[in-house]
Amino acid sequence: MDRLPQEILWEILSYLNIYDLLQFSEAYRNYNFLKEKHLIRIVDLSRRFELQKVNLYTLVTKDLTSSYIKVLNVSCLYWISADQLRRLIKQLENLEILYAIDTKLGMKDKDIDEYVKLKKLAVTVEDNQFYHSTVIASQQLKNLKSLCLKFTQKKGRVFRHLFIFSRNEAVRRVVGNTVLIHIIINNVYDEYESNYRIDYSRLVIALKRLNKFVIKSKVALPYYDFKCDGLLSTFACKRCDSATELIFGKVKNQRDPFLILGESDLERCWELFENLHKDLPCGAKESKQIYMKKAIKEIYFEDLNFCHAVILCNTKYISAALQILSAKNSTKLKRLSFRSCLFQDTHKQTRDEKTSGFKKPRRGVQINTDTHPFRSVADNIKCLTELEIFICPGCSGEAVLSAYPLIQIFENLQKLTLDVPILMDGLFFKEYFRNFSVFTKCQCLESLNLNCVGQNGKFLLNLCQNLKYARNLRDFRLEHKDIVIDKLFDGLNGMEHKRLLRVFLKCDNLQYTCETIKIQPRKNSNIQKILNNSKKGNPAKVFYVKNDVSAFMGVFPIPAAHHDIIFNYTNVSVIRIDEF
Amino acid sequence: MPNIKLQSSDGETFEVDVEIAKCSVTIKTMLEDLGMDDEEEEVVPLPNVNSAILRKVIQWATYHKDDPPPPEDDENKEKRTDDISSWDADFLKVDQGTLFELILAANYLDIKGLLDVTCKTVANMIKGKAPEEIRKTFNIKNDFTASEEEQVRKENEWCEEK
Repeated sequence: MDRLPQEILWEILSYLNIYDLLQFSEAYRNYNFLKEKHLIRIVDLSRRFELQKVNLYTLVTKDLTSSYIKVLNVSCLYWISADQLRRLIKQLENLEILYAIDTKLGMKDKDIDEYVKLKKLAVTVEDNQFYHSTVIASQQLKNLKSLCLKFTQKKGRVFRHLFIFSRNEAVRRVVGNTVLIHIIINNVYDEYESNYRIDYSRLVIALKRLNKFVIKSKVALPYYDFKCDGLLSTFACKRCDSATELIFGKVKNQRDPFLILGESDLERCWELFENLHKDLPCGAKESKQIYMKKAIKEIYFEDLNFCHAVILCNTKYISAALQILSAKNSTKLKRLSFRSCLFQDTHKQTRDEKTSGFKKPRRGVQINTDTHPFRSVADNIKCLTELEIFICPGCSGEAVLSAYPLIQIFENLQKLTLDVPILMDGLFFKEYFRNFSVFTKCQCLESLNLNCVGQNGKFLLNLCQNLKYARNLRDFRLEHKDIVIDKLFDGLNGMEHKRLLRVFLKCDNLQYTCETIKIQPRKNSNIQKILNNSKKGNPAKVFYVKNDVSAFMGVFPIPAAHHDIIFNYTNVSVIRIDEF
Repeated sequence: MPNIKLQSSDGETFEVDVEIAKCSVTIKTMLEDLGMDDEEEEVVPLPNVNSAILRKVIQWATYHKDDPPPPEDDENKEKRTDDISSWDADFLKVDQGTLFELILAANYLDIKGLLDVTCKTVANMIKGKAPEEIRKTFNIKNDFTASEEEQVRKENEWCEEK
């Protein structure tokens, strides 16, 4: 590295975020580059849960030249006081973009004073705050070109305020200048309110300048009241695992003059999807529009969700989904979610004949996966970074199980969510993690989310023994009937680098190997003590929730910023706030 | 298509399509400045690049000869490093010495695409690593004394993963 000229080193370092830069500067004392303006323009501290006890203000102002900083992202740093954040924003005189979703900042008068210089703002808003300050906000935020609001509640009131907001003359002026407004309505946890009907069309018409309107929902059946009249370029609506969903990734104009979508097989797939989508607000209509516009030369999917409703499972659907996945359009796929039926190996003869007597065949151990039909599909979508496989109750035979080891193919995988079938023994984890450590170059698995269906001791044992190979694991979620905590923490503590940040356990019973821990109802704090003892100085936060208790009602509710790890909902095709 | 001859530092010559050679801005300006005639059997000497590296560079340039110009960077977005194509990733599965040689060659020959992708690869080698791992990866000697190290660690305490 010493042989490289300074300017090349800077070029390399310009690809690193602030966090990696600090690590690098510590490894390499010759370079005192942190005050270089080229390097740190963007301070992204979102989701840095390890920054727990730090004074954010001193850390940013001490090491960095504050006047160079243009972008600040503090999303999800929910424990940092609003005062501290405001002081920090004040200090960064040239700040243009602020992402502060799920923080203590909001639309209070004091907050708005600090927003005056901003061009782009993303913030979470409580509805009453919003009501009192809309007028001030619209008068003060003259520089604003883009605004992203995340509402914490889906209530009639919010929408009334939105109407007021949109009718306000001053707002109209601001909005007139505004290039982009995103409104994100997040109703992750008011399922009870979904009876309330929102008139989306009216909202859209009221906010005529809207370029993008995003509804983010994880409720099972939301928005049957939705009509997408008047929506402009992009509309995205998210639903949970009860419906099929097809969202288009970025559409790129490329040099290839041929329209790839002309293939007849694929055409049939689209038709099938159109049928499935008939009553759904988005999907077929949009996809067809894209398809019809011959101007687009090539389409690549970034994000596909084939998580169908359970009753919709049929071979036609499966083969259509597989066709789409093996098409050229999917070669750049980043995120994928499907049910285990896509793993169905239709050509395989039952191997049960071979095993005689009482010996049970070992499931899911088969290493030779070359002949599995999913193999070619997997090879096609090697770039995958995020994978979710949920169980399809109808399809859980050996043929399905034998495909799980194929997950190894995805070397770039960062996030893996698995429903673990009852017969899977998890031996493939051994191969899986070891494989990863061989490829030092690849971005390794950072988040692992396992939901065991039924009691599966063998799987758990294999998991615990092999967790130590997951070198870059940051988030770990495990759902199982009984969790043996000493074994589990042996595995977690065995990791070479203490990267683990969050562990979330959901179970009926916590156990030691030889004894059962008796949990008295309503005494969660005791369990927390037990857990904290067993992690032996491991820096990770450990959350625990009993199966039948809601994470938010309990003795100590878990902050909203951790919802991503608590819920076992699909994350694929969810609009990400940090992408705005 | 007319060809051009490139000579590496160790004397080996490579015959390359002019269009491919011109993806190097250095060679392009050289040709324009010198007004080299296509008919002449001129050899362009490249004293800073050895034959093994030059062969790789030519291989890369041949594969990427029809690439559209890269899009402008948005300076308010973090630069991505995960968009390396699978061909490039395979191409760059080489030892560290070769990788650095390639960076130097790309810099000398002024081939932006190659420079970008090699720098990204190195950045990926740094990403997400603790200081100790970075030292190990790049074979950096830890020339801190214990007390100095303590001092630095204190200064950077917030970024330590506790």
